[in-house]
Amino acid sequence: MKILNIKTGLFLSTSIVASIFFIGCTNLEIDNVDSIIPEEEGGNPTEILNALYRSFAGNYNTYEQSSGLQNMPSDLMITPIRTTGDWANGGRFIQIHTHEWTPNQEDLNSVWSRLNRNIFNASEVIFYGGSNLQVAEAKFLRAFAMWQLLDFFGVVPVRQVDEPVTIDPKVYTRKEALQFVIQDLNEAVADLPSLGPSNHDFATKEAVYALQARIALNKAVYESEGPGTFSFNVEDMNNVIANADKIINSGYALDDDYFVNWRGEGTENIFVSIDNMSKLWQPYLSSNQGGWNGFSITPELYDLYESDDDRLGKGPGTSGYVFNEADFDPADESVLIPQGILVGKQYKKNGEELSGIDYQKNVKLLGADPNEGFKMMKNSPDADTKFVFLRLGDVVLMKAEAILRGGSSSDSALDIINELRDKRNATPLVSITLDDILAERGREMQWDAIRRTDQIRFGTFLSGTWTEKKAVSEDYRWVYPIPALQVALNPNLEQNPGYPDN
Amino acid sequence: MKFLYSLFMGTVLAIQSISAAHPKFDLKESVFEQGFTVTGTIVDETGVPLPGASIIEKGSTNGVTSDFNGNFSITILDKNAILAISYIGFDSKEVPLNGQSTINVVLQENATGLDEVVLIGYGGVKASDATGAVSSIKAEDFNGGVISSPEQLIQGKSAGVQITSSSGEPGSGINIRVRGTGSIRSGNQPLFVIDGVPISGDNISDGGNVPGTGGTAPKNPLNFMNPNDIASIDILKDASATAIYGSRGANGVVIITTKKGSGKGSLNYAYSIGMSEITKKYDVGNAQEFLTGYSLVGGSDPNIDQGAETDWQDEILRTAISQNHELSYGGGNQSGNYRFSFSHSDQQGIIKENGLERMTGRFNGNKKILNDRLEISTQLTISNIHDDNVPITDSADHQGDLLAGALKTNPTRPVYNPDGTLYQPSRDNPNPVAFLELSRDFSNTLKFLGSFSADAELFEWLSFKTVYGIDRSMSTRKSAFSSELVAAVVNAEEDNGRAAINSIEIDNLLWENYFTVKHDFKDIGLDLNAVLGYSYQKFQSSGNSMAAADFRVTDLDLMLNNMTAANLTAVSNTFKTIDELQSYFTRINLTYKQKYYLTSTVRIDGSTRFGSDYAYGTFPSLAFKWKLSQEDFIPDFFSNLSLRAGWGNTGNQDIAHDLYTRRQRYGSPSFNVQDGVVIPGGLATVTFENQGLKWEETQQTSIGLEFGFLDNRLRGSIDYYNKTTTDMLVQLSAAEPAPQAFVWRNLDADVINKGIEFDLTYDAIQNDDFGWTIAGNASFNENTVENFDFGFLETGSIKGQGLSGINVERIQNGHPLYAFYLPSFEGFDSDGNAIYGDTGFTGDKPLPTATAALTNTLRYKNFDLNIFFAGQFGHSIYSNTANSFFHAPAVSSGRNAPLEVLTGEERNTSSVNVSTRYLEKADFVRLQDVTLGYKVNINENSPFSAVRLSLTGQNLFVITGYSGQDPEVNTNRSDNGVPSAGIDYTSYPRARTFLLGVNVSF
Repeated sequence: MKILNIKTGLFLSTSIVASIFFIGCTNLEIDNVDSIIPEEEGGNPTEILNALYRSFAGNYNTYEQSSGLQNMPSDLMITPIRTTGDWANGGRFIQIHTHEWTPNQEDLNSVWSRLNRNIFNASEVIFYGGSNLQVAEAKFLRAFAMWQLLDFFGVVPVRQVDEPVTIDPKVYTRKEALQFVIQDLNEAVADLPSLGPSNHDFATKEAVYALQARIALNKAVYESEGPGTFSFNVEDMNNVIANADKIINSGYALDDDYFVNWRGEGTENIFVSIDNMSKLWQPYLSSNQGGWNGFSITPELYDLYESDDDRLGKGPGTSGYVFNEADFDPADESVLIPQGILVGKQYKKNGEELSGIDYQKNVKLLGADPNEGFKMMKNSPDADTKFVFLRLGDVVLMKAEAILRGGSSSDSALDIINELRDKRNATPLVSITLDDILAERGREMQWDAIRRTDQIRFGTFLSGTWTEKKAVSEDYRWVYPIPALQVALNPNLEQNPGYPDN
Repeated sequence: MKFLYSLFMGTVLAIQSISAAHPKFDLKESVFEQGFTVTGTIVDETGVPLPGASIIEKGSTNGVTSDFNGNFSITILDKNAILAISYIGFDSKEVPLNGQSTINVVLQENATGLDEVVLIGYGGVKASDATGAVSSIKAEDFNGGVISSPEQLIQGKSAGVQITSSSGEPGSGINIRVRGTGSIRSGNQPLFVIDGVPISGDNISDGGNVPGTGGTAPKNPLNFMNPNDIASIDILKDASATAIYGSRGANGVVIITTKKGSGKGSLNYAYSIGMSEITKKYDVGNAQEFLTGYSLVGGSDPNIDQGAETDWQDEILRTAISQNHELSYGGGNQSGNYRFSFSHSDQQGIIKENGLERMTGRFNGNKKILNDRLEISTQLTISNIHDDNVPITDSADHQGDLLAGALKTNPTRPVYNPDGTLYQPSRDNPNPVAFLELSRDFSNTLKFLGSFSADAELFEWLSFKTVYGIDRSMSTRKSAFSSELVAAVVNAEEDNGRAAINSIEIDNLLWENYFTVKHDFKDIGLDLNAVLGYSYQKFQSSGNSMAAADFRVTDLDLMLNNMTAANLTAVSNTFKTIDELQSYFTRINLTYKQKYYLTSTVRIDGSTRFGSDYAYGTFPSLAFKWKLSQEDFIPDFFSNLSLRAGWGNTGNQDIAHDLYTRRQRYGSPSFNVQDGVVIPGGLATVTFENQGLKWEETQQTSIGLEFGFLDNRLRGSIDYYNKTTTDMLVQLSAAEPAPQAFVWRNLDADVINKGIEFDLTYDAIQNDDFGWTIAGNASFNENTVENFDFGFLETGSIKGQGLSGINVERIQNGHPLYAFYLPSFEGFDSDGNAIYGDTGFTGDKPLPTATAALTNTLRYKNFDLNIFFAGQFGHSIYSNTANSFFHAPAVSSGRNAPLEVLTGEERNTSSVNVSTRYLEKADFVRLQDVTLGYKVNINENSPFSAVRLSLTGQNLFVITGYSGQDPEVNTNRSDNGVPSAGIDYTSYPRARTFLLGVNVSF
């Protein structure tokens, strides 16, 4: 071998350089081999809609999230800090119960994000060219999520599907958002099916009617500048009644068994969750069974009922149960999980009492023994269990309320209430006032994620006091603050009056 | 005598010049035929021959070099002459002959390091000529003991380089911070370059998950290296040094160089055996103490006493034995060298069932051909790692993971029922022993790293090098949890066991080409050394996972190896991403009269991590060095005095794949065991695209002073730096509504790290029999967030009963990163309820503000002793473990706790909350490593050429005020992608280890 001469060296070096820049240079464009780029390949409205049904239900599949923001600040639920250390969580459940929430309360941010995501996903179904039916379903779900958002926060941010991250979402006022919701529902109804009562986990005409009734009933609240006396107008009330009648006339009927609705059966449910609500069941009965030991009912809720009311539940462990051997199977050692308001001792399926469990009515907010407070068990894990978004029981009570608030109907409010009470094994009322409606709504829709809205409409949310909610709340608390993080992220958002920025 | 000598010298010189003019004149025979012939061998301290060492008769130009075997033969005139023997990297030695005709010389490796070559990326420079802050740590200075990854070798060895392992688990992840923390996300690690191949920081094995108990941290991706294969580790600290790596240089660069063969072929065998035990158990109550405490705090279960007396910590702990075998063979000369090595290491964890077993094979070889004009070299590592994992997670709920179980389980519970079956009364408090016995979780990782290069000398002044590198790994993690294990999820009513198999495959390649220009313009005293090159890297990552639930069998092997024994099985998901990085780089080093040194680099990086508008970033640097000691006005007692100043701009691209395109993926399915169905995952948007995403940049200015006195016996350096990171890449919540909850943005804020570093070494005593060197380093770093008007980012998400969703750390303007923000603890009221004060910044921070280390190296005849202390100061630690389990409400739920809780003032009506009650100072000093070595005298006829015995004590003690197991800990409690720091949550405990080693060369 001979030493490389300069000529060879030069040749080598230049050819190497040439090859580097010729072969080596990449244009830095990469293939995405494991994901879909909707801009290039088109979105998939079917998949997005399916996922949306699931994620929308996720707002209500625990007693936190949207469900929590409706129940926890109301007179029906209390979530104390237990002596086991549970449910302290930096006092965030306490804050909600005592109406002392701040813009940094973390549930507010997650609820805001989730509902907004639902709205965005619904818009995607429309944007990516879903079928007429899919677009109608998406508009129904968008209206539902936007209603919940405007109900909680008063304002609604909006982003178009193809808007980039650099554009700050503009903001609808409560009235603008309300008009948007009403328009979506009006546009949705034509393309949706009317299928009669069958526990539908998808949008139907009747679901639209029920939501339209709810919105019409609360419209005066949403159009008001602040809490106080709302002026409910006749047109809205007639709208409530008309929508209720459309549902009643399409075959829906009240069931004899109140709790059948949460097993996803019966003839009352208008719109239910697509999946079983595994996290809604509670309470915690034994360490091998799981559950939640935090949420309790207030004594006030329990006191609303007559002792034979079906809505207290009937089985072992519920109110007024007298031990009867026939209810048990000596061979079954698993935990018996009834449906209803659980009081006192609880049992295994063989009749044995569960050690250490004896639920008491009274409950305090701090340092509560796990036995303090009666528990609500609507969604027993022993059965298929659904979250019920819209149900006939709610609809008939809205109709009765609309009549009392000046709407016209051939039915009387008292008859409507008593028909419901009869089904629930409660004695008929002889007369009826708006207060009776609120109380009946409490009995009928305990923990159905509507109580805060109801109490605001009836004017008891801020001024009322109940167990461990001892003070009258400031007027500005009729809406929640916009999450501080979101105010920081979107310059178009202005914090709701009365609240600090964070 | 002296006069005669120089007279004679003159003659020699004259004759030599004659010989040069008349080549046929045979100098040796005709003039020195009466001279003496002296022969001998030159070896290093371990007996390895040194080829090419120079042997010169002192005062003359008469000299020879040693051959491949270190042998030499020199003819001299004066039998009492002095031979001057020198070899690059070793201390020169003068040997008076005193009439001997055979001498064997042992050279000591150069301790002052000034002539050593430090690697600076795409080449090296003499340490004394380096213009940037570069630390070079050689094998003999590495930490001893049981070592599972290269970072542990240099922990505490360099000022400003803070190395923290996240727990005591063998092979656990390690955080390295060079000159402070600059980024607000996980990408804070320096770039690792192994034999020229930059290693991607991606995890090479799966992080795993314990059903119902939480995620387990992934292992350190560098565990694949056999520490004994490493010759040196160079750390580039300042931006002027790291900018040659441009986009990936912002957090420093760690260059690992593996050992090469030298001398005649020699075989080396090393064996070590170590014994480890936990340093400190938690002082939780025994049966009686627990029962007393239980009723004291207000517990009321009459069945609390289960009658046994169990120390649950002892039930899961053990004395761990670790063994390491290593066999290597290598040799080499000036035209090439080779080295093979094979190692097997079996490291047990101090928790039963846990361990790390690794086999590595390695080959290094290079050869000069074509009359030394072309050098080809190959470096290959193949490594097989087996990790046995235990269910210790970073996110356990109140049921706890294995470690929490060992701390909080009621000590009156027996381990087993009288019939020998495991006693498992409650899913809320799983039996820790059952957790171990009824689960299996391991990963197997095969890693291959290879680099192949050719270096051609085109002209005397120009060479060209091409490097092709492959970095490939395949890892599979398998885990099974039997339905017999009474624990959450695993055996919920009908949920009969869970199993999962997760695989990750990494396939990276590198192709680099660069020219090196070297020319000495002697007439003007200017020396030029320049590099110009191109680099291309491709990163492919793919993986797949399977999951199964509701098993018809309970046998763990069957669950993993016949997975369809489950009623529900699913592909959890698969993924594959490809990214590219393309770079052009240049560096110019100019030296003027050995006094002034100038280095300038520019690197242009193009990365697919950014959209086309921002794909390219330019990263320049400039550094200057002035060797003051070469100036006449500097007095001679300075053996070295140099001033360095540098500035550089580096980048960071360590973010996920393609965040600038809106992409959708189908999510993972979930099991509904109760209904017996697999719910398929929905289509979801995974990125909310940000086309404006650009490089995070870090500008660093630094000034350094290097000094040496007393012939460099006292030497050191002082460095000051100011590092500003801007346009930080961070995952933020999206302004809703948005297609995705999070969006990556460049945060408009600065993170500033300012600091001073000191390095000082003193050779207190250096003579043939006795040597003592003291080396110390200290660094101080101040970290602040500035110009941040966003409000704040929260992190440090605390886990536990009644604690979910609470964060204790904030990133906010004017505060250090991850500053603690939480309520103060004001003691207990008369009812035993905790009193909490205002919530706010406490002034405490989780990142150390000072680190220091001290090494004493002593040598006496054949003995050597190394004593190494390291410490970190100024930071605090939040004990999530105590917050979650060590309070009266937990005790009243039937859980054990330390004595101060069992006998304390608190009662079960007290509210659980985060507070300064669980925030503690984390300062510590650790006696990290004491190694005593003994070199056995070798008889000439012995088959051995060298034998060394050593005894190492590792982590002998820690001085700290922290009440937890060990203050050096970092459990990942990030919130929405913002990393946390300084949180301890059921961390794997740290061990004290004694290691006996023997090293034999043939």
